[in-house]
Amino acid sequence: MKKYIPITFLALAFLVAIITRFYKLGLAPAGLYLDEAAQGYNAYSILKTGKDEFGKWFPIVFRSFNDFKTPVYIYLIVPLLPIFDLTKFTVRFPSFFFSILTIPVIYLLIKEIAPKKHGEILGAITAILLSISPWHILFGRTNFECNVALFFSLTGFYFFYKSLQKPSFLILSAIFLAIAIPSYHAQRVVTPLLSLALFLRHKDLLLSKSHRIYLIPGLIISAIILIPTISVSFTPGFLARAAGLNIFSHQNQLPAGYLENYEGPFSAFINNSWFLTSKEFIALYFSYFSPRNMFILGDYGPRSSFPGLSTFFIWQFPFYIIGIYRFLRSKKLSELKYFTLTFLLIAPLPAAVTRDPYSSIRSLQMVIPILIIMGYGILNTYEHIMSLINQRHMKLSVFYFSIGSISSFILIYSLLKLYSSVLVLNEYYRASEWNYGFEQVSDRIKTLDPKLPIVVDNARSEPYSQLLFFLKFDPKIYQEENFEVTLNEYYTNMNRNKTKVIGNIVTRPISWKEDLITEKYLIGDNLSVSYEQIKNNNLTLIDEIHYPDGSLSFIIVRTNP
Amino acid sequence: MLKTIVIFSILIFWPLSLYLSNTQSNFLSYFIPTSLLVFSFFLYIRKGKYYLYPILAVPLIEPKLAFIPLVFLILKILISQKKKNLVFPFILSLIVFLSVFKSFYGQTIFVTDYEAQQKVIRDTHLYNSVFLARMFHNKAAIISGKFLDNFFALTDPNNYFFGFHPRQMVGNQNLIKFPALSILFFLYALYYIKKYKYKQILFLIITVIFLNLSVLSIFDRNDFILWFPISSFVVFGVNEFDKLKYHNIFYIIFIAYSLIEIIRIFI
Repeated sequence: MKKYIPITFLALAFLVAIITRFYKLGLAPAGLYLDEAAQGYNAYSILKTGKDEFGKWFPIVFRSFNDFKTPVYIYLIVPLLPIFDLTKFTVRFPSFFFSILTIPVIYLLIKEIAPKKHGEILGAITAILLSISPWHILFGRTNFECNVALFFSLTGFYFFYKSLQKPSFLILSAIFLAIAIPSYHAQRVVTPLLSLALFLRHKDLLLSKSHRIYLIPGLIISAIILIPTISVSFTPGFLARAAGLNIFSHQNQLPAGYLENYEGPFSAFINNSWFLTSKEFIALYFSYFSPRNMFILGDYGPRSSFPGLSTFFIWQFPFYIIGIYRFLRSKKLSELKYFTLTFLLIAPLPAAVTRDPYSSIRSLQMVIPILIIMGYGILNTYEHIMSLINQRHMKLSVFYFSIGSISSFILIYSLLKLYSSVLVLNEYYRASEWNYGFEQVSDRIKTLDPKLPIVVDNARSEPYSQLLFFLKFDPKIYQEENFEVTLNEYYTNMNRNKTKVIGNIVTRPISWKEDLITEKYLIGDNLSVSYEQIKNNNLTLIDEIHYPDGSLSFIIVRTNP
Repeated sequence: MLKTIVIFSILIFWPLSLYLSNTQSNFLSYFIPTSLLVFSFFLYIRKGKYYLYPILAVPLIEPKLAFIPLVFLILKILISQKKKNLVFPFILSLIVFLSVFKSFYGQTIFVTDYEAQQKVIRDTHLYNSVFLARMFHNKAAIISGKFLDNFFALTDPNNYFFGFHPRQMVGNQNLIKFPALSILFFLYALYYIKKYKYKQILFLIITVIFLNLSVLSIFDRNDFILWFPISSFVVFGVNEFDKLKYHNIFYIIFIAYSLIEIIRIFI
């Protein structure tokens, strides 16, 4: 009977993971953020023409809004389009799919590296924790590359450990780890560093004759996979994102703590950029270990958190404390301890060099070592209570019943909390953050007079990707009608052309003087077109689109010259 | 010599930054309760009989800290074997607590928060199920939410070593309490906590202070009472760190780094 417990837990974890991630996938969040739309449309463009929105044939990184998006997620959407069409569900499906696949992978990985006594059950507990993890669920329901990258890196590390007994797995390990690197920006740091740490630990075995014959082909294959990424890795485009966000760049922002008004004799010390930046880095690094961020505040970004929910549930806090204490003290955990602690220390590095205090996207990989530690805390607590019961000769049936009841209660509470935050509060309070309304705008555009031009205001946003997405605009025509840079300069020229032409639609700021001269439709938010302007300029109100909280999302008017 | 400078810079940091960002009278209202706590601890390690009495005076100086002697004595009675000796101090602490209760209560999270209550009512209307709405949005959740917010802010090491985050410090709010690099000594002390001689009494004091500060609507500056227990813990970390082979190299880096931080306090 006992031997079936871990596998039952794993099945439960898998089932819960599917429910928490698949329920209303594509419907909640109801909006579609511009990055999601851009990824979806570029995939659509690749499918239809073999080129992205700029006409670049199979790009290595996608130019998009000059943020040079990582390619793996976009290419994963492409084969889904003929099956599910270009929908919100489709662009979020890879996140969901790889998110649930991570559940068995984490189980297998822990089983592989933990001592036999704990392996299976610790793997199963961690899998359950991952299945209800708000942090992992958020990125498993929405279009974020970080979740897919995490799956590839974990699978790569799993095969790495398998290869210690069976060297041929080194090839698979190399392939998965090589795919993880271009999958998401943070993995460009985490995967190589962790791979290096594991290599150093097992170098004697890996360099032995039995492993060398697989290690070398593995390295060659991974180099081949990485050649395209490496070939563009020093272009301004590829480095653009890192340069804009990192704390070492002071072009757009002064170092944290810089005293602008001070010009005294100590200026060279107190405003020393090395001092301020290093301090900011240390503060940011430790912020990823802060229980306050982990259990109370979470990520302040409205799209990288759910309202009223942090990255972990508050009930997990005691298990985290117990787990980390026992984990550090234990001398029996060998490989599990090395992997988890090394992973834990490396994981926040890419996030800690960017300005945001607690970026859950860039540090998603941390969820794995932290949940392993919490799982260990739960296991230790269970064993401790069990030993107390044995000492006092108490009835085991009562104990099992109590544990079962408490666990069920916690699981149900966590699921209800998730429902409350993800499907109720997030939909109501954060619709605007998820760019709600473009689907309705696009539906309304289809009913407007096609002979009249349409101007969609882009003074505060980039609406073209959502319009292309929801209108399923022919990519070939779009590529012909729009120009930003020559294809030779795709990765190097950072100039932008924000005016986009989508058939009879133009996205640009509304120019009242010129736009009122001819008959056309104007579309914008409540700041672009006010009721006063409608009245003063004799505009016809065509439609209004509201957020779920009743506030105005978009307004559609027609000019009457 | 280097170790002494390190310890001195750790000890001086918080009092100095607090002193320079407050008026003298305000500073004294934070400093005196801390001094009483230090005096109590001094009597305790000298095995003094009346070590509990200085703490009893804390609420009389600062009513916001009224919980400290009372809860401390309750916990002490629970774990102590000589309970009889604690009855009189307990009665005294109760009297002190009741005498400042009104002033204390007005500054706690238990005071009705009209805005938060309105938000609870608004949020409950978003749910189809009343049960579900009431489960996560109710008056008790307002208080427990505030308590947890305070508790986790107080237990966050980033609060003490970085003012949460360098970009979160505005004006003289949210002061840094210790030199940034002393977080390493703090973590070192946590790892070797079992070796710490006064861990039990210090753990008790810290728990009581955390509980008291967590029920306050604003605990800023009153958290200075934590200066002594945290400092002594960090100093223990320095003593343990001193056993490492190349500790002097880190001490030099620490002193150079902390010197800049100390100069910044004066500006």
